Amino acid sequence: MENRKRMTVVLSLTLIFIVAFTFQAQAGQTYKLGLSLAITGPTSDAGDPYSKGVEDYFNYVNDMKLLGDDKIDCTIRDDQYKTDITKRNFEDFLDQGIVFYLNYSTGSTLALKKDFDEEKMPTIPASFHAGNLVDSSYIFLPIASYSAQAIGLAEYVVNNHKGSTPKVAMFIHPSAFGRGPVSDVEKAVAAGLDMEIVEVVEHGKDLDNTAMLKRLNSKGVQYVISQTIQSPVATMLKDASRLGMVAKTFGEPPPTLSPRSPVQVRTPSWPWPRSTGVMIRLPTPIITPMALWWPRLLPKSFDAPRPGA
Amino acid sequence: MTTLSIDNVTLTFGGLNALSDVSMIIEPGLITSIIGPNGAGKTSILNCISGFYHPTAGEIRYGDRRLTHASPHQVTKLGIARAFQNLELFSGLSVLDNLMLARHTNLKYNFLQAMIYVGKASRLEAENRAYVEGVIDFMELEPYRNSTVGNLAYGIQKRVEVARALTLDPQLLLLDEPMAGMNIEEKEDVVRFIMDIIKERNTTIILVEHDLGVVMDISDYIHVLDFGEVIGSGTPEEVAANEKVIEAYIGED
Amino acid sequence: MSTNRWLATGNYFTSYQDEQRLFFTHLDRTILTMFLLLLFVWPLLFTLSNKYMLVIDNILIAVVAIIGLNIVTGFAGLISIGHAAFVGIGAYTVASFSRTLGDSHVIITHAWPLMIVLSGLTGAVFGAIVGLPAMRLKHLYLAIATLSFQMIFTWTINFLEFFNQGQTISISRVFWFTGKLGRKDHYLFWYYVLLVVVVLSGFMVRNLLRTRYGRCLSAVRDNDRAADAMGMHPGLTKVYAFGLAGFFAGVAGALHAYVYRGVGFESFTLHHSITYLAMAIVGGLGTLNGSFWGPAAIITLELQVETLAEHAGQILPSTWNLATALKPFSFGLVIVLFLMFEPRGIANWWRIVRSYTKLWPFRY
Repeated sequence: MENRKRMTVVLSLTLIFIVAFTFQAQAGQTYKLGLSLAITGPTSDAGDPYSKGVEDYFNYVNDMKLLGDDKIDCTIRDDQYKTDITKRNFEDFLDQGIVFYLNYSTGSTLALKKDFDEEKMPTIPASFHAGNLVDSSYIFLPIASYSAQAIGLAEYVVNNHKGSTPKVAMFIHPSAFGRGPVSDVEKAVAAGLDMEIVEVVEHGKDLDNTAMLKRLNSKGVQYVISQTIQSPVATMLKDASRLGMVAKTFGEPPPTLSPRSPVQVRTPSWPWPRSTGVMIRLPTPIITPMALWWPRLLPKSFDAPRPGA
Repeated sequence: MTTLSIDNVTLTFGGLNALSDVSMIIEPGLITSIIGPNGAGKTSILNCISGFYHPTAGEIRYGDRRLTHASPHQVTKLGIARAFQNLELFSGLSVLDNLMLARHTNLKYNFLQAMIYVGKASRLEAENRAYVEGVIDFMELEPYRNSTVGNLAYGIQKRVEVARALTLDPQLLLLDEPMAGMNIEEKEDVVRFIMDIIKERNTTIILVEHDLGVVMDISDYIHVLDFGEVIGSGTPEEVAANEKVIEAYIGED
Repeated sequence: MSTNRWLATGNYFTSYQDEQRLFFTHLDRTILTMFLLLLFVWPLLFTLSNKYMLVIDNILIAVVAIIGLNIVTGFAGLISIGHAAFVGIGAYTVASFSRTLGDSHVIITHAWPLMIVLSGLTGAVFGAIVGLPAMRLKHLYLAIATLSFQMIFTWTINFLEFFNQGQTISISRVFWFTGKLGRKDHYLFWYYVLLVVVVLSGFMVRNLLRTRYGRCLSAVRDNDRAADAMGMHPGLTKVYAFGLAGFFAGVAGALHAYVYRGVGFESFTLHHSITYLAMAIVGGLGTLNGSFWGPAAIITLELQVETLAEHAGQILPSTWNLATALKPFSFGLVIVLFLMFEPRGIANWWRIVRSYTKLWPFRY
């Protein structure tokens, strides 16, 4: 008798729980998303905070009920910047039934382009390689492509430069991500942009860029356009300032350099940490990294310091 | 039957003459021994014959073929086999595989037949396996057939070395100190094998050996080397009476 | 001789042709046949998620490559640090067809078995060319020569516009008798193709190893002076070993290209060469079944460590990038442990297990 009573209580409690949760689940829908990126491996100095930014942002969306009762469940997987692993992660996400996919590296985005199309899977990559948009209709770039950014910078240099044809070097990541915009900038120059590309440097893992900077200096390079992740640029900047090559002014005062401050990462409605792919801006005659353009394209609520603001 | 003739062979290593103006004729069907003190150039002669060294001057002929610039595998194909002084066996393989490797040139099937392994490859493998088994019988290696060579006792390894040279089915067999480091019973065994080889297979043998007793007993003809030069040749009796030879071995009195 | 062949526990050979049998007892043969049958049948019984099908395909591709590496490094004793480059040669053979004819040309989509063989042959040619220094160089010097080939390969792919500077060159889906393969069948289809390739190359190499074409490899490994005296050209034998290894690598490369439907240089870097070497060592150098154990073990380990690194990446401070080190660290640790405690690899465990089971029922 005692036993049966206990049983009834347990059963009814279980039922109540099930019903309660079912109702809660019915109250809103859960959208599954997937993100595959380099938490470890090459470019992980950008990928790791990127993953934390995405995680925090979706927590924010869910907590603040930005989608009403609907929720986002985003699975994040490490791919070590390798295409093979990214492909495996993507297949895994498909098995889990994602409705939207976030990708990271240029190489894997280009490699999986066809899969996105076949699966009709909308994808936002962290790579803004112009080639992502060729022959594909499911990759969306939230901002201008690397090529557009680089050409924008080049135009900026040309427009603000005084004197003869500016001499420019490009400092790029040794991968598809780094090489992407080079040919487009070269095309722009060929089409009449009054600029001379003296050298394209694919950086290694050097901890010292003195020799490279001196070489560029001796070739008369006045500007360096970077297309890489933060640590190589930081190394280069450090050496450049030690050698006294970083100019003080170029029209505008430099913005604060805090791409990874928690305030920005948690900023509403913009999950991207500013460090991915393109660099913090340092408007100087010698070094002109890339991020000049894209703060302007950010949503209005983005309240980080902005050039010219 | 073919005669091996060595004409005025000189072998120089950076100004040092290992062999100077050595001439000898090896008659078929006989046991010819080459003796001499350490460093006299005995192994150098064998290396020149088997193609590991090429003479600086002079000529080596086997029948009407010149061996002067031939490489070891070409010499082997002419029917000249060699048992090495320091064991040069395939130590990671079994006795059987070591001997089957000596049948390498006789296994005349092509790559595709080998891959499929039915028909010709299988038949030839079995035939040559039977031949190898004959040599195993002959050299009394039956208990070690499937043992890894590297794990066998030194005396047995020496015997495998000779067996492998025999498996090449040579007309001319070069034995480089087959009895080095053996006790008296093992030496008797090897001598018995050498006598059997001569008797049953009619192979010409060139023997390089330090044990003068054995050499004097079994050789038909002897060449004595000292400091790279031939100081005496002849039958065992003639050599034993040669003053130069006695001088080289016993020293001046 | 026992009249019931199922109970035969030993061999009673009466001719040398008998002794050539691959399986000593009827039971051995039946077990292997059943196992192969199982490998072919299980996908019909239940479906595995695409992710794991891809992992299995990946293992099988590595198996084909390792069979090649085992020939050159295990049997012929020539260390090759450029094996991934040979795999890359195979993949880029398919890719260059894709670049010149378009990625869905008939040759690529319909004549894919031909493409696979062709890639193997290209791999063999490059293998033989890279093996040429083996005529004169030995040991570490030769290893450096293969390493330089790896470097030249990566550099060439990275800087030639024809190879899309190492970025992915896409390969279309292939056609089967039922028409163009759908996305759902892709990995399953290639699983079967890979299985056939693996079984064929397994038997092929098993046969080669017991003929002159296999024995000569061990001969130049153990003693190339004596090999010379046996009537084979030791230098050419080494070149042949590299060529044969290149063939299997090339086939693996073409299969990689088709399974991933694209070719990018990053799958064929020095890191992959080292991984292949590790697979061969862990599996057991100089054994055929080691070629199956190694890839399975290393890829499973990689999967586990990946998950671990991912979790570690969430906890460890990212500035130190410790999680990145986890994979190479565990990887290196496994190689060192195997070299220290089981240099003969997993194949040796398999041998021990077999000798235990042999006792039942009284094999000897």
